[in-house]
Amino acid sequence: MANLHQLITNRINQFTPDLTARSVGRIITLGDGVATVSGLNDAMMAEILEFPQKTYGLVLNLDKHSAGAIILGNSKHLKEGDEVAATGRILQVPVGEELIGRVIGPLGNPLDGQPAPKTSSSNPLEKIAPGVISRASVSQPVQTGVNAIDSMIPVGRGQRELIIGDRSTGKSAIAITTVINQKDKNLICIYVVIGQKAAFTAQLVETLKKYKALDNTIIVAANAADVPALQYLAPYAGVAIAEYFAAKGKDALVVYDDLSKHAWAYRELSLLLRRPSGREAYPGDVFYLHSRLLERAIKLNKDSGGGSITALPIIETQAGDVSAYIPTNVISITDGQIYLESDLFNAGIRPAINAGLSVSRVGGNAQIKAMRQVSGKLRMNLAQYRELAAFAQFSSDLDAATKAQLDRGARITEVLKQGWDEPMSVENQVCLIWAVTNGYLDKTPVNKVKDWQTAYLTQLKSTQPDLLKSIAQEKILTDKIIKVLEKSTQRFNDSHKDLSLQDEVETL
Amino acid sequence: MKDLNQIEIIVDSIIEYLSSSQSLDLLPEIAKKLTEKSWVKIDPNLALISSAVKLSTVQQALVKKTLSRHFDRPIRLKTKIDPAIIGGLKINVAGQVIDATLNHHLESLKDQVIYG
Repeated sequence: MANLHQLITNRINQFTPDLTARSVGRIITLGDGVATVSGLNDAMMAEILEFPQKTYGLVLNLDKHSAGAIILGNSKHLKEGDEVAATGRILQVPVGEELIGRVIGPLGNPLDGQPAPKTSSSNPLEKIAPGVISRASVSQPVQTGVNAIDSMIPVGRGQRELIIGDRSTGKSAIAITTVINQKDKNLICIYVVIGQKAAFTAQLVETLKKYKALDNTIIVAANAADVPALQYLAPYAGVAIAEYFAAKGKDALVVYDDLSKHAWAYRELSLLLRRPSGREAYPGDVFYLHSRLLERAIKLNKDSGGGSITALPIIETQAGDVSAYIPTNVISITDGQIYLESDLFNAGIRPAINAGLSVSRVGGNAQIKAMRQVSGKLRMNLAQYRELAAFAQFSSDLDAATKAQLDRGARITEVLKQGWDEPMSVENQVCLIWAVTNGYLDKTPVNKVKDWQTAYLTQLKSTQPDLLKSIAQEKILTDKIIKVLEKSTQRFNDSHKDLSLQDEVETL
Repeated sequence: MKDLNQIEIIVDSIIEYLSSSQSLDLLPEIAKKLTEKSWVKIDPNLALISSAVKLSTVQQALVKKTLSRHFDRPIRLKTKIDPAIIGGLKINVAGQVIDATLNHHLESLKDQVIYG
């Protein structure tokens, strides 16, 4: 009670009457979180408007005699004729180190039940992306911890890599694995949840807490129950927070989960604002909606501090149709895509990455040399396997070389299978891919490949810690390292006959 | 309230006139034209002052001088008594509103106490 009294007293003491001249208008029409306001003669585009009861709105349309605005929050208490004042400010989000480990809304309001983060600065949500002068080419890797991605579709710091696939094919899982793997890797993750179930956000927080990844993560959430205005703003808030870290020379990773729902929210707002609609009822500027967002992903050059913002947008396709409007837009904006397929997912290949359709346009330059040394062979082996696998279904009589290639491919596929909660360090990935592409698993039955992998990596860790350390530090497979690897892998196979020899059943 | 009643009376008389001359179908066009005219006719130098009591000549001169200095141009006044105002003035210069009424202060204070 005393606290309440104190709170009210403080608030009354803080009150200073405002006597400035404000541009004031009135609500003409109101509905579904969108208001038309008359009388704001000097309203600016994207200016914040103040509605009664400290409710704010954002100007999105400037017409001859009125302004169209979206209301940021609850609009149930508003009615036609209410007074609306222009504030002269544009939308900003509080930014700073204090946000790390927190769950916030797109306007910086806390959603995790803790007090509002005490930040000292703020960044504008909308900002023109930096030009060519301050940019550098992508040169450092983002280790996602996912074998298939780090080896074949590498992502670099400052890259925009799209994760695309049907519902429940493991799109968010890849993003979550990546975030979990960034512990102690100097990469601040910002996970933007757009239009998902609130339960998803709650589960995400718990998962990240469990793997202690929330200590370098900020979650910006606009759930399905939030108004479309907030869903529309969420990704811009995410990148505005990332820009704070990039400006300080740090590296940030932003996951947009997902941009399909973002486009839906924007379509909803645009239709309510009575903007002309185009294909699939999206407004004409739906391409710019995503291009201006993803252009803010950047690798800054040394003069600008060397920071970076990596973007991992997620797009959900309907029945595998990547040629729909929004997927093609985002595919053309990004620097490559990770394509996930339901068929692979249902066949137990998880992550369900289609290696043939997935590409990374700039990440190859960022890959460490050791990984580049082993992944070339992996990609070739896998491509040959895919080609032969289709033919092999029809013939039972295969020559030895073809059979060997098929066997190798099956083992590689097995090695690339991975749980979402098991991100792998880059040195382990290099050793494992080196072993499988050099035939050390050829005699291991497919169903024992995972056992082989676990035992092999455990043995490497205990008997060759220096080897793993030198791969991680030197980032290259020298002849000396390869010799040690050959020797220790052979020794492992010799001492684990049960894992490196075909069962009798298999040979029949 | 008085304003709203006045508007109602004017609108009713326009409709009555159009109805008697059998040209009610012109109403939308007339409304559109009136809206356009209203935008053109906003006088940037005219200040509408609403107050609870009639302002004295000295007060009016003071307000006029202060407003002219604030907006950096000669301002003319049009005063109006609004019984809904408890005290203070509400000044409207071409859409720019300075609300110095007690009503507004109390409303803002209420918002401050409730929403912080």
